[in-house]
Amino acid sequence: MLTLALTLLAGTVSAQTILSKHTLLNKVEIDATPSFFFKVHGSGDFLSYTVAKNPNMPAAEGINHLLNVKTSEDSILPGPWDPVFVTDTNFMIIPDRANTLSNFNFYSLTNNKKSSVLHEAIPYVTGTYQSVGVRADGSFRLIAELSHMRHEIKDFKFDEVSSKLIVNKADEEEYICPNYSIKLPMLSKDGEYLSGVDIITKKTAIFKINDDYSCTKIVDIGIKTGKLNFNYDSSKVTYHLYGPSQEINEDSPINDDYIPIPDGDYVANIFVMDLKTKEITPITANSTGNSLYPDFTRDGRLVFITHPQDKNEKVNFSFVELK
Amino acid sequence: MKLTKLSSLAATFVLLLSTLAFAQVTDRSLNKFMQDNQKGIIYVWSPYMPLSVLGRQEIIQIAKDLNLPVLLTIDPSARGIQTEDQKLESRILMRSGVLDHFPATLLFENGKLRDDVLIHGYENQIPLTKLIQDYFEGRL
Repeated sequence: MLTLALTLLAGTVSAQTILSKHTLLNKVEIDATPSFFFKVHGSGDFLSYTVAKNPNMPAAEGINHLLNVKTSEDSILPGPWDPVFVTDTNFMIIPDRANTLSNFNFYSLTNNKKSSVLHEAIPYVTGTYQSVGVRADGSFRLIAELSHMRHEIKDFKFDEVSSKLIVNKADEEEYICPNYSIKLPMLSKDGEYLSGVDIITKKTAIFKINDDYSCTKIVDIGIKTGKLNFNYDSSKVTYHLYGPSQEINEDSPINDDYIPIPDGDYVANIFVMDLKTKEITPITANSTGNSLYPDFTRDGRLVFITHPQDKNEKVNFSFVELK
Repeated sequence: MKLTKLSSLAATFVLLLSTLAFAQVTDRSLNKFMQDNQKGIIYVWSPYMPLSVLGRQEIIQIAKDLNLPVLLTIDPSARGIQTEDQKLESRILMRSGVLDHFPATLLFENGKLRDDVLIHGYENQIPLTKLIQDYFEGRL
């Protein structure tokens, strides 16, 4: 009954349900089945994602894509995975090879973002899970994870005249949050904060990055979530969380008998947290299908990917206006 | 003769049923695996998270290096994927939050899941080996 009520009240797209106080502005479907990870350009006009080379054969290395939301034009980007926009600029940072100790290449997008020009790799940042912010002075800040204990950081600028990077302490390894062990790190859009799972507390937290790159924990989210993304003024964060869908009785006792669980029983939904009030707002209430890896555009729209349970339906990216 | 044939058929049916019952990682099969092995690793991966695919081969090596059994299980939303790994259906694991990011690495000890260990995200082989050792040797 609750599911039915929510379905009637909300803007329903199949079993993906946006809760009624929010507005589904646009849903962009694609034919491929990309990986869960994607990024939205801060303008909201472009999406980047990765597709496996062979959809039936699991492999790490895929093909990166850039989708123009307005024209539906899809271009190929370099790199094996994780094509990341530098917020809403004309730049991207992408791993240089299919290796977990890869470097990260800095690209300009050209020809109305239909192609890219490689400039150079950012020195002394290697690993995985790169994220980038643009600081108040216009410089870029890149971090990546080498291990839960070691995250590298580099601040740099791009000189448009010479097309070269001007890198702060270009010959040194620098580490961020050396005083914490963190998984799933994500830099805020302004480069001043880091979100991640604190290995010791086992909860997602937000850290302020100090001038010496040490970190001070400022918010404990209280639970462990999926990767946390910040909005453009760092007043809100968004994440996904799996939980039981409405149909199952979560109070039923766990026992040792074989319990066949329909694939849609645990679903991922989207949440937004106001960092000032700590209020958590659910955005979706899916009955099946998984909505994942939400992120913000500069103007505050929320964008997330949904993998429907019914594989006859297409993977889509939802653009939502929050109330 | 008739009885023997029926017994044989029944035995085949039971064997087939038990095979089907463990075609997925269920609460039951998870508990059995943990009870049978007492101490080891559980690795949950997804074809839709590339680094978890990469980590799958590495966790096999880590388990070998540490002389531990490893249970490999795949994202329940995966479809049409060629793999010998069983699909995750265990509510015990789902309730523990494994689905929120792939890979998810868990440990079990004394036949039970360690509820203090859920490592989300890819970790290179050397630091992950150390992390697992730290957990099992009480340093974390």
